[in-house]
Amino acid sequence: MGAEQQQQQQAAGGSRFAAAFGLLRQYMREQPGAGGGGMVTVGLMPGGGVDGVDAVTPEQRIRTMELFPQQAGTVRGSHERTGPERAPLTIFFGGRTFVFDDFPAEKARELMQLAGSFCAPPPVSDAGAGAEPACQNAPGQPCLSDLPIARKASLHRFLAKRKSRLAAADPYPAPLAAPGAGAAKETAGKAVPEDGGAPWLGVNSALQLN
Amino acid sequence: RPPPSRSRTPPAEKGFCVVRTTGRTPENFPIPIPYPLSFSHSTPRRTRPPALPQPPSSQPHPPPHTPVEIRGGTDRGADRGSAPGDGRRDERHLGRTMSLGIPDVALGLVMGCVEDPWDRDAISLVCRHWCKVDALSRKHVTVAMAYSTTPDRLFRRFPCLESLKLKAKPRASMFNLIPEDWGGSASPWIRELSASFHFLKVLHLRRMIVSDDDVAVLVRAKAHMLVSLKLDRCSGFSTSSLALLARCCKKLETLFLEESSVAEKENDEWLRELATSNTVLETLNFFLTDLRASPAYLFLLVRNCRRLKTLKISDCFMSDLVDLFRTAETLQDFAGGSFDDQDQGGNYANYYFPPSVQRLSLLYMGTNEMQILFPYGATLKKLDLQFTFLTTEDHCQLVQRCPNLEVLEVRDVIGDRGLEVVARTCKKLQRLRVERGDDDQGGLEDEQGRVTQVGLMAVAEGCPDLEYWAVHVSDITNAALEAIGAFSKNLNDFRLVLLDREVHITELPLDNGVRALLRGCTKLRRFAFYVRPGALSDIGLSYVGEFGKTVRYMLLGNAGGSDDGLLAFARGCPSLQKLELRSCCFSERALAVAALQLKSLRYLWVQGYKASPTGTDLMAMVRPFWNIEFIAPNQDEPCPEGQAQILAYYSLAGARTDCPHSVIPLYPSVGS
Repeated sequence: MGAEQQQQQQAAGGSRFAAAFGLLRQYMREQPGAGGGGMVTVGLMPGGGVDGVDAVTPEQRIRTMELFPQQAGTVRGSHERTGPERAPLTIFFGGRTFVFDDFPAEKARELMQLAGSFCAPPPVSDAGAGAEPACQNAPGQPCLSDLPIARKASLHRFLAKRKSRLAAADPYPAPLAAPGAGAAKETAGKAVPEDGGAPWLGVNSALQLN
Repeated sequence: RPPPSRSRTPPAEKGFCVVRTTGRTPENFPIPIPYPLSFSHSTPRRTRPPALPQPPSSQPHPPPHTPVEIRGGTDRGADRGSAPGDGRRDERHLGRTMSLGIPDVALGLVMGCVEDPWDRDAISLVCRHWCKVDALSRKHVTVAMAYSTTPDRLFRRFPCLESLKLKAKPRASMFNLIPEDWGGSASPWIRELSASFHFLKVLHLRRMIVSDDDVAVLVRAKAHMLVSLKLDRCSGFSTSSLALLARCCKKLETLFLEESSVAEKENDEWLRELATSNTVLETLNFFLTDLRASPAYLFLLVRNCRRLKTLKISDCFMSDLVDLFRTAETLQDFAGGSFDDQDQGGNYANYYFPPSVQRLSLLYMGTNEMQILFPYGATLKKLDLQFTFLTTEDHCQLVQRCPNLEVLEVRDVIGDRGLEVVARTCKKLQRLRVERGDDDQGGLEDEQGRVTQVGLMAVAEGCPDLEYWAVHVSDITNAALEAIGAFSKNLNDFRLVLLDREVHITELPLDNGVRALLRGCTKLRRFAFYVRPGALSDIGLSYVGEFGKTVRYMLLGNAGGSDDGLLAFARGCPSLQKLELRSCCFSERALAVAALQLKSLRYLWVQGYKASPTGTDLMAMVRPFWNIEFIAPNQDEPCPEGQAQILAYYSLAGARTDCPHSVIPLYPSVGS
């Protein structure tokens, strides 16, 4: 199936799924216990535990889950469903992941039917896992991921500080920027120290835009 | 014994899994084999397959004929009666029993001289007995992924440890890519440290969460012994902990807090406490933190701690530190002082730095202030200009006065012109970092502030001693990479990022250049190549696999064009232990196959990939002791930084039990 068809279906199914998802959210709000804390684990390979792992405490229930809806097709390995009523549900949609603990089985079935009825076969189209990037490029080109190059936190802070020092002190570029009271807003939340430890209040006049 | 040379070699990650693997299943644990009597240090560094580590049930017990006594420890199986004496002194008595033709005494002495962890790794694999002797004589261990083992396992193997380094959060957290609640709490480790590890004097926690309670527990147990504490890019504690450390740890020589998030409570009282309680401090580093420090207390510290060599602080005006520098006669390394714009008439031409100063990093220094460094250019060995406001011309002016630089850190505002000056002037340069400046085309950065193939080639030819080189470029050619391969023979760590500023790059793809670089730089251990789609084709990626034989750590961004490239890559790179992939287009299936194929892989981090329709293709890499975790994208943020991540690593500890909601352990599942 082509990428265009997939995108079309996603676009068409998007609003309807959003509506269904809105119903789901409403249901979740009505159920105070659902979505509570607790580890979500996936048991896809039976007997895959590690020697020496601490025994499960009585409080921890072993929960296994089907990672993806049945209609999606192949589910690797055998899986168990513990408890007839509730199990965790994970939905991957449009680059986002939603995890719900203790989701009742009937509601899950309804949801899956709803999702299944939106799309023409094959039914896997809108069940893609979270990280499907938005590929907007000419056919034949490699997939262009939309991740921008990340910046190191320390430098990010420095550059942000520099920008706000300029903007706060002097909105109009001028040769000698006098440090104004406006620069103090960058120090919001911080008490002004007694002596000279507040260089951020001034703007370095050496920074000229030449 | 000579002190461990931890800082001698570049800060390589000294092994991931604490328990060394044997390449065999536990049932086939190696039995002592006849071995040449002359054990030499030139044990070849084999690349071992990342096979099953030994589970605790087959932990070796010392054979009865080797009396090994440990004083003060509670190592099970090795205590042979208590000997009187100071439990803190590190004495081990090895008997005169022969093992493989070498008496234990000699063995212990020889091993004590071997500090390189890779060599120690090889030694410990010879036989059970040598493993034990190595374990008892190991002074320092780095656990590069804290979740790969448990504190008590570590203690059981290395009961005599004097120095421990732990890392937890993925490296991506330094780029704000990891959720705040991801994990990495130091509590279980500090609890174990307080109960055991009776010889521990040095602790380094990097990218972990440390609470005030944790510090209190640590201080209660180890205050009388602690010589060095580094809370490196950590968070969760406050200045109360610093005050506690200051008051109680009288032997503290190193307090390192760089880039940590510290909650501020009683102003900078902790600094006053440190200044008045401690006289042996050699290193105080709270650079890149928001901690406040008044010049008066800093002066007090410098006056009382006559051995102070390294002082790295947060913002403090240089004009207020004049007295400090006049007093600090042993100071070698200073960072953090900043400049006050109001001090317009401030003349820094005659600023006094003690003659011992060799390393400087001054914040917010501008064109008018850089003259402060002119008289000291010739003595400077390290210069950090990343956080300054200098132009390209300023960089040229400054660097040309510093012919003895060994370490230079700048933003790419230095430009090709500045790098040409570096190449001409800094012949002894060992480490060069060119960080990414502001992308704002509005002119905050100098127009000449671009690094291209011109600067790269100049530096490659001009600075043959380079060992570490990280550079952000705006343009590149194959010839530049070939030049690096031809001239930079000492490189062990090379990282290149091709920025998105220019639409058109002079020469793409860079396949041939990368091949030449990897072939030429035979000592390369760490390699990062973050480019754009089309810059490294599938063939180029296969070159990386084929010629990156010695590389242990790799980061690839936008590399390859399809799964074929990744699979070809995975057939090579025999030494690759840690792999980070970002913004690539590989499918889950290919990632899983590659993870299984890379012989030495112990740690895999991926952000940006082609998900499978069912999301279960990733399970193809399921295997024992291999934790697979999925970090869900941040649901509140539509921005791409919220993209999902895969983290997979070898672990003896089983699945994490402290996962937040954003982290989903896919394998193993607890209890199954």
